[in-house]
Amino acid sequence: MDKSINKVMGKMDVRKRFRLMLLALAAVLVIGGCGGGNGGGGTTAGNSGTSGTSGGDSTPSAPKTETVTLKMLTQEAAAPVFEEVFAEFMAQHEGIKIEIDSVPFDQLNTRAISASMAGNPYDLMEVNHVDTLAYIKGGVIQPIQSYVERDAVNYESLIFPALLEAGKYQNELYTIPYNTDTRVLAINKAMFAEAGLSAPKTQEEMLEVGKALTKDGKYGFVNAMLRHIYMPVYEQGVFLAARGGHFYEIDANGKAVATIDNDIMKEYFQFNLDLLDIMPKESLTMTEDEGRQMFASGSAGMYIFGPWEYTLIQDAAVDYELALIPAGPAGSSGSTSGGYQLAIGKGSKHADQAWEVLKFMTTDPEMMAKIGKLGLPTAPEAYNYAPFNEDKYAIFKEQLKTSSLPAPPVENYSEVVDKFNEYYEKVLFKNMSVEEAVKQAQVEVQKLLDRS
Amino acid sequence: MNVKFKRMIAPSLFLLPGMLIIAVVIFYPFVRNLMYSFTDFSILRRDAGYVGFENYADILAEGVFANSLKATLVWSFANMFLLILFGVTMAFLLRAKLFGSSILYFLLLIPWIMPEVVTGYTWKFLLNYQSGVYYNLLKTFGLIPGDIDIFASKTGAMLAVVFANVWRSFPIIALTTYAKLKTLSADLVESAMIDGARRWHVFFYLELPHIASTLLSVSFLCFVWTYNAFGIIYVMTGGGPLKTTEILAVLLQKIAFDQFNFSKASAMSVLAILVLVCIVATIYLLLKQAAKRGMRNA
Repeated sequence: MDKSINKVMGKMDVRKRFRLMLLALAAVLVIGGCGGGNGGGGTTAGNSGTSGTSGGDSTPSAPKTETVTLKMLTQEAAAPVFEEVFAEFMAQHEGIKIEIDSVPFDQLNTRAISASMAGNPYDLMEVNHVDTLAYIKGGVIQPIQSYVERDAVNYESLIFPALLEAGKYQNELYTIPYNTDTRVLAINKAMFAEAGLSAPKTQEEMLEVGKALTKDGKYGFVNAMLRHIYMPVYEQGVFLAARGGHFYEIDANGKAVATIDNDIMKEYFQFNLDLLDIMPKESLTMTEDEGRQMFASGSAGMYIFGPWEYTLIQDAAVDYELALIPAGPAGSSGSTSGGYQLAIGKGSKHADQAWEVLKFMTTDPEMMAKIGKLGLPTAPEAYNYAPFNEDKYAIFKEQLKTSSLPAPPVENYSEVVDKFNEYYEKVLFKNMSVEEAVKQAQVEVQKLLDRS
Repeated sequence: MNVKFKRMIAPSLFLLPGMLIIAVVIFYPFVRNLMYSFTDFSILRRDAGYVGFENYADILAEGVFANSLKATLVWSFANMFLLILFGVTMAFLLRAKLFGSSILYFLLLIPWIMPEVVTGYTWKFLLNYQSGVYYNLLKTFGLIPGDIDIFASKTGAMLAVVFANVWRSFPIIALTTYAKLKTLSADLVESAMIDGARRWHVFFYLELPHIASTLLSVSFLCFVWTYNAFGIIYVMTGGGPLKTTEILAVLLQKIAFDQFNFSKASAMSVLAILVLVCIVATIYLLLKQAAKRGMRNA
């Protein structure tokens, strides 16, 4: 009995195997046929090269599109912007899929470096401009110069040249700046109207106006003064920039020299101290978000406003308008710029495909307008497209003319900024006099600059 | 040979996979970290070179580590004192079977299961200048001198982060101590009372020795967790004001991932571990002696 069952089973196995083989063959033929019909367009050209040489004799020469999945690292706030653009890209490029790994802003470095050190780099990544040099020297990102030359992309004509320079090292292009920013002064219209005031033109006027507005639980100005190490050089740094100051400069020999122990810096520190009189007490400890909320709720007359604020305070109770950063004693306005760049991870297994994505995003002005949404676009032509062709961006375009980086980033930029911040903080907490702070900061910051 | 293999080698072979996993998961990262601390490895120098004790010398000369260590010790010991105080008190309250104590038992778990970062944000909002509910409560009772922002004051900021962490962590001490306390024979306590023992006699000579070993174990765990805590401080103060709350974990994060100086961060972490081991060993010996003395007296 058992034997007969085995016999039957054995026979069935053979039959089953035969049927399965036939089915598989039929499936291959059908799929191959379909592929032959679609594949002619070759929309995934450039990424199918890795699919191997089958050299088969009977199958049609249909390209076997192997889907490549790219990993991109970005900060959480930028993820929706990239999702929108990637959807367009993937619709046009069947063989490439992009997965976004979004992390909070302060974890961007941790994630990028950990992945790179673990030998599992991101194919595409967003890099804060202050970290670009460290990423290049640390081998976290790779040069894209060869791709740019191969595809004859003329970035010089597409992107503001000064911004493009920030992505170069030893005449090789590593990153494409995809957004930039600048900061202006937001004015609470109701508070100003009630007090019969207009937007201050100079920093001296700003203090006077602020004093007039500071009453009945409301304040002249609000900003998170210390919560982030970059606050004194970027957000509050606008007042230093408008005075024509920098906390270090690069001299004619290419050496970074601290420029702190001077009258401009002393006046800047003193101005910040004076500002505290027209600010809420918790300005020294509040987070950026708490500062924003206070302005959005209508409790403060003035606030430093970057283009990203449009998305962050959409439902604000306050009716506001924007003005140029009040001028310093020399009479001209000024502000600080920063921004983010896009790069290909060094060691990426899909660098070719990553470049295709990068090119797609950064060579079309309309696309540059889309990805520039969190700040301002880096392509002049992008300002002809929505939303940057709206009036509300005119003030930023105007302020950009007098904006600059707080200082040209050096390798240990974060350490240098942290040291500067230490003395700035001591002054604001009245733990050290302005005179003493600038003297000591000059020496300590220079020591760090000498190491870079 | 066969007997020897069975008795000596075979058990070791069975242990080998487990030991290998432990070596890979626990020891390798530590050894690697130790190795980095003797190099100039950073994001800028992946092909790190041996620099001997240079990182350690720099750290000790700069004074940043010393300041941070001081903050860490203040933070850790303040936490431990309050954690044990509140934890043991709560354990006795739970044992007293007061009205609603079974609800309290479950409510106690909420702070413990809450993520550290959420705890940080919650307490930041509660203590915010003028707008915080607890800030206004403290002000009403005159517990805040003058018109100050708690987070701008060195003492205030440290107390704020300590209380937030105590709120989050004391349930674990309370619940484990309570579990141990329940195993103390009621007859023993009753007979002691009949023999004329007062309440504090029962506590010091019966209850405390009984819970000592459990309290010791859970306190060690809490000490290590507190010493290495990061989220609450990072969210509430970011290490400020004037680096008062910049404990070693916060400083290490900054040096490794803001300044990309991995070798320096590694050297700091080695020093931090050494300090932690010394403290834990000292406390362990002291408490063990104290427990022995207590048992003898009992």
